[in-house]
Amino acid sequence: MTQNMDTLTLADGTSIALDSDGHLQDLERWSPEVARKMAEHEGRELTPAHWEIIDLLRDFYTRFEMAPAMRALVKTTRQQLGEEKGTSIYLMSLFPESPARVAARLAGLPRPTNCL
Amino acid sequence: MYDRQGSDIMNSRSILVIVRHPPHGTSWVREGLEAALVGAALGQPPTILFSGDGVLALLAHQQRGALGQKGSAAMLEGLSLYDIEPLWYDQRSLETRGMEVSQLMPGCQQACVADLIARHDVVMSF
Amino acid sequence: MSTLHLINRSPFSTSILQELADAVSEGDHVLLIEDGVYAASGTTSRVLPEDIELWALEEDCTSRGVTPTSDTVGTLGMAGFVALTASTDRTVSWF
Repeated sequence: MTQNMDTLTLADGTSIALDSDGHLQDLERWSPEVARKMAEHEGRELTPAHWEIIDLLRDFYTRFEMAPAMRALVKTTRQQLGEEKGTSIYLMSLFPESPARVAARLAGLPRPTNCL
Repeated sequence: MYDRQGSDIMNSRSILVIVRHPPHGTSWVREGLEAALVGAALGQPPTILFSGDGVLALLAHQQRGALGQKGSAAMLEGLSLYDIEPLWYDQRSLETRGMEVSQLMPGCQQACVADLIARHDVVMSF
Repeated sequence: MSTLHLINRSPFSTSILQELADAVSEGDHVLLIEDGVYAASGTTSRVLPEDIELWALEEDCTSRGVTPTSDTVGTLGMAGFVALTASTDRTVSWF
């Protein structure tokens, strides 16, 4: 895992600014390629199961203008993807450490405001 | 099913968040909501009450500000995902502002303010 | 079980007293501080129910030249403010 990286360089040479937590400085710069690059830097591989959660998070942010903390992420996942995936264990297996924080970063959202 | 981590930090204190400022002019409403969300993230969803100009935050069909500033309506709609529901309001505050229940967003419920205050250990005002 | 309600705004620029009237329970204390003490003189505070205790902070009355209506409004100094905070179960600030 790379700490304190402040830019991300895409295939075409574009560089994307990140803040000290590794979140995008300009949320508008997000693209699936940005997510893939971020994941690569952190030594993660994004599978369709990861993308399902990333899409769900982006949809959550569009609707509610905030990034969900763990509790709300679990609940919204359960509502949209069913009981089996709507658990903290499942999310933890996809995004180890802190699912709400890691997934929000990959989805190009700000850090969850209420994530302590 | 929920992630209850941290739930023992505040579990002996019930919290009431009272919002008494209108939504767009200042960040009071958003700050009140963020405080409520912190409680929910710690496993203790607070009760939330809108009184005085705070009831204006409950009007349906709000948009972002002219410069794209976030209001609070979108956040309010997400509170049920944090188990913060219903959105309690003071009926008199609604009436004095010429508003009707039908103008409010879904999920609102009329409160008996005195009872709500008396039932909680801690009251936070925004 | 009682609540201490703090009012720090002028009752003439907001409808705070009417709002408060519905929010108090019997035995609650209402303390007027800062510009809230302008509700301490005259008849402004009559909208509040009679089964509550109404107080005005002495220091803020003195600095503003406000004389509380003595039969309905008690006065308290800072020490009394602290004691009241300690003896009630919760505090609500109506700023």
